Amino acid sequence: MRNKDQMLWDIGIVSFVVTELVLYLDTHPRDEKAIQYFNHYNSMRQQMLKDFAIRFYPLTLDSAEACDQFAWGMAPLPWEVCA
Amino acid sequence: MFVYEKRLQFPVKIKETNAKLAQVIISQFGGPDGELAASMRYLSQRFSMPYKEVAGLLTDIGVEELSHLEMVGTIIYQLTKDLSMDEIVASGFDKYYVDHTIGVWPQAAGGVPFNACEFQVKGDIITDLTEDMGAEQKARSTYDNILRLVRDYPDVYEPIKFLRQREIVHFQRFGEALRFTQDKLDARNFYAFNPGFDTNGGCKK
Repeated sequence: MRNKDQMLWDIGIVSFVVTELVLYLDTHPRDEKAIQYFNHYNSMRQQMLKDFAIRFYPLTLDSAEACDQFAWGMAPLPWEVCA
Repeated sequence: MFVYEKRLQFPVKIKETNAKLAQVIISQFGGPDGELAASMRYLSQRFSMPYKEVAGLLTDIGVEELSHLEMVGTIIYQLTKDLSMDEIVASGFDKYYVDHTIGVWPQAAGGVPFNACEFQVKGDIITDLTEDMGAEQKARSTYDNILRLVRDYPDVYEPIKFLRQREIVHFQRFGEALRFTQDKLDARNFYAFNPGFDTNGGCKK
């Protein structure tokens, strides 16, 4: 099972792929192969964000659920080294 | 509107403080070719962009620049957060410290405060896209200069290298946007009219 830092690293990689595809598709909106890649990695990213929120804390408001405490507000800040 | 994601675009984990490096890297936070100027330039220019493809690209790159601003701010924060008073004085950080303690404030390495005159919104698509391409190259040069200064600090080197690579990708995408724009204009005189302002023959959508 991947630990927190490993999962964050994986989310960073897949999110980067999505970011790159978005910028590419902005100037090549009809590239079918890029559209396929985008759909694949974007849904993978959404699932990874959900999985991370269940095991650790929400990285996005969309994956946040308030239980006994407000998880979004209690999540660590990304600029802290030990976050 | 905007949403926030509580993670950095690329990890920044700096183990040792170094106020000398912070003082030069801060230029990419609030300096003339820094990430604040980049994000404000693109997020402002997009309103007067006549083509939704180009306005969309400016939005997406402008948002990515905000995440770069956050990364550079994180680098400054981590390089300065545990400084002793002796280190503050010895590194020359005292002049910054007196006004901002160890808060992260947008200024150039030379101390010049951030100023909106560091970027332009001309309301002319060719002018603005040409500025954007120049801006990406200026930021790339600045990162090249920083990389020469941080060669011996891998914790700092890696995120700076990542940021430098993004300038090259953005330059490429803006070049494609300029080509797309010229394809829509009169090939005999691209400057015959401004599609963001003149209405004769302009295709707004």
